[in-house]
Amino acid sequence: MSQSTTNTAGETPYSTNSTAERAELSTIDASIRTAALFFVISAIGWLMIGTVLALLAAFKAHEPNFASTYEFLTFGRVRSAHLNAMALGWGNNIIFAVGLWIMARLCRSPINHKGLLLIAGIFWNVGLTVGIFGILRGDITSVEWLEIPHYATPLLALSYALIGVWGVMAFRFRKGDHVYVSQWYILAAIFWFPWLYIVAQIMIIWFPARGVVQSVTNWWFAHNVLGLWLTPMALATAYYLIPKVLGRPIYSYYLSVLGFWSLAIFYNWAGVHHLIGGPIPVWLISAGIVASVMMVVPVVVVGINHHMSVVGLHREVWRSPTLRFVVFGAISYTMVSLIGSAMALRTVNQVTHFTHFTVGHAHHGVYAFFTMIMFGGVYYMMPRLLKREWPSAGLIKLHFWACAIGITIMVVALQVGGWIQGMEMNNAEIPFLQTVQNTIPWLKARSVSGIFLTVGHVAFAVNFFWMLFAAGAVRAKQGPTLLAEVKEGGVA
Amino acid sequence: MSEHEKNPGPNSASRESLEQAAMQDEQMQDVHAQLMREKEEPHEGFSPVPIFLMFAFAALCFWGGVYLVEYSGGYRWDAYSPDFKPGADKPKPPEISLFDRGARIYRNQCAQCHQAEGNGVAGVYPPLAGADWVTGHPQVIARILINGLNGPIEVAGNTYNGNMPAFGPNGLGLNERDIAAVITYTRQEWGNDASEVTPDMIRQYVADYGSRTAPWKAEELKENLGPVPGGSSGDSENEAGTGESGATEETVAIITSAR
Repeated sequence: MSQSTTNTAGETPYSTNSTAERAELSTIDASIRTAALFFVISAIGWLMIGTVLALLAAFKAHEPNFASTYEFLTFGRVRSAHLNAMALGWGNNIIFAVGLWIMARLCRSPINHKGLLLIAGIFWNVGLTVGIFGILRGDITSVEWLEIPHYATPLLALSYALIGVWGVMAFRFRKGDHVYVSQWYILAAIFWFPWLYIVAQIMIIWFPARGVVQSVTNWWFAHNVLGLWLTPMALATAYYLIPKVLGRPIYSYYLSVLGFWSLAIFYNWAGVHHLIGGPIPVWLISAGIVASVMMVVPVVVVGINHHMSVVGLHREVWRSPTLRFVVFGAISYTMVSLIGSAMALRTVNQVTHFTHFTVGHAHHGVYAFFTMIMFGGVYYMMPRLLKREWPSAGLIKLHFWACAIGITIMVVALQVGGWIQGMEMNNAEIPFLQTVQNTIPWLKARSVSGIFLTVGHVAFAVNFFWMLFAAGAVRAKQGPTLLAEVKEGGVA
Repeated sequence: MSEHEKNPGPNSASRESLEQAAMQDEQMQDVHAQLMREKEEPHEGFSPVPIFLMFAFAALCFWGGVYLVEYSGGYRWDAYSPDFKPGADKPKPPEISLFDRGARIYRNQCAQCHQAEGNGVAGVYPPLAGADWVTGHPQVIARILINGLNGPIEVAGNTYNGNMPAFGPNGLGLNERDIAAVITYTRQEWGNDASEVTPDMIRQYVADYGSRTAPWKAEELKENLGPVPGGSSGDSENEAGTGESGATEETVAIITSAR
């Protein structure tokens, strides 16, 4: 065994008594390989499609004549297609890959009937493709986050249910007594998402509730899909990867418990803060505001738990492709959530409502937090599934820096510009058109950030497919692909 | 070797190919190296929750409770403004006009003697309808109400010798508003058409006569009348100077004599 196995502790891993456990992990990895590969490839495909759509939408925001001669490329359709491609295409596929993989590993139960899982995954992507084409064709519904036309959604719901079953089954047949915090999050989210999606579909699309109940349901869904689906999956991934890569336990079990249950209790209420000022009974709004502010509890708790698990090992974090992304995402989680709590306050919301500030916030959460952690998950998972290493550390660095700089520019531009926009809109002396024109420089900055992100995504995809198709590029023997010099033992 | 490159690891290859020489010990070791390099599956430490956090969260919960109490609109479905205060816009008890209020008091307290139509009972109870004691200077009837009336009095051509009870603080204890209301009623009902008497006027009269215990005599009633409050007639204004101070002296004199 070469340099990679002379370990920090000074003992070779062979001497540890967990050899059997490691062999078990190998079996589990093998059992999920095909399905996870399919999900990752789909996710990257949707990421690319979503990126193109995002660029189109971003350019159109300040160049309205750009590609405006085609009906299917009008802003409303492109923007919604972007949202759904990213949330349900990139987001869900990568969750299915990374989330199910982590679940299977932690439950120490291999995935059985993996062919069925693959078929369910294919159906999910077929349904989504139909849905995105439906949106571009003009069959879009008028409901934000639920734009996919009704002929595609039952397929999505059904295939989701089939995929979710595998997570539940893995948990049902788990080994060992202790249930790790990542398993709580994944198991809960596996149930939360179908509940949200099906209730929202029924109450808005199939048997529409009357009056403002529809909007309340809409924002209940749209906000919870972030907080009770993307967030727990990303947190589960971070909770798995941070101790895994660093070889150090998570700081506190008690903080994990507090963080999980406070998220479960408070998040569900928070969505109505999108309707502040709307014709909704004020107690419902106030309850939403209080719950949004109470989200400080899980956020601070998770932040402390992650921070204390990493503290002192910053060099290792910086060196590992996985943790560089994961820690970036974890820090973003704290920031975006605290900003989100503040945005729910009425006085702040009076400024930020109906401005680009909200758009910046959404990308802060879904990209800087969720997506970055999922990138980290892919960087850790793929070498295990493929028994190879990432071919290019340079591309990983490019990916990281392009995404980190890009999303920072986007969030700063949209939130600073959005705040100014909000102040101007609240000033009756400034004509509305003037406030719109004043956002143009910020929107151009957003387009620039989009180019950065595109570069990062292309670097990621190139590295991924290079690894997938050029098998001999980097073999496991040479040790993990790291982003900085290895002085002592390897982490990846 | 190229065979191996197509099949990345032992698990994606069929069992037969595993048995082939293509997978050699060295490569087996490569694969294992990666697996063995991996740290153990994650677990958790048991550091306690920092105590300041618990206090901070308790404070946060307290804030949440206060916020909900302050801005919940009483949990009503029809409260839409955060400034809505439950009970603040509750319809106030309908404002009953002095006249209506007086009518009710009259029915309960006066009509037994003076009758519902204000005609009194011939020879016993004087009529109120058309009586200039009632419709004249408001101070006159106010004095009667507050302190009562004793002895003969001529009303509408007939003389009555009865005893009208006091309704002021030393009598049956109607409050100022009630006295004002019932006077207003009697001055404006049954064809009577005199000015309204406000509670403020009665408050002033009660301050002046409230402590007097002796009922009025008919002949005293029209003495030392003050100006009609709010009245605009020149005559009453002239009387004002002398009348008011006189009334006070009168009162003092009567109180002393009563002792």
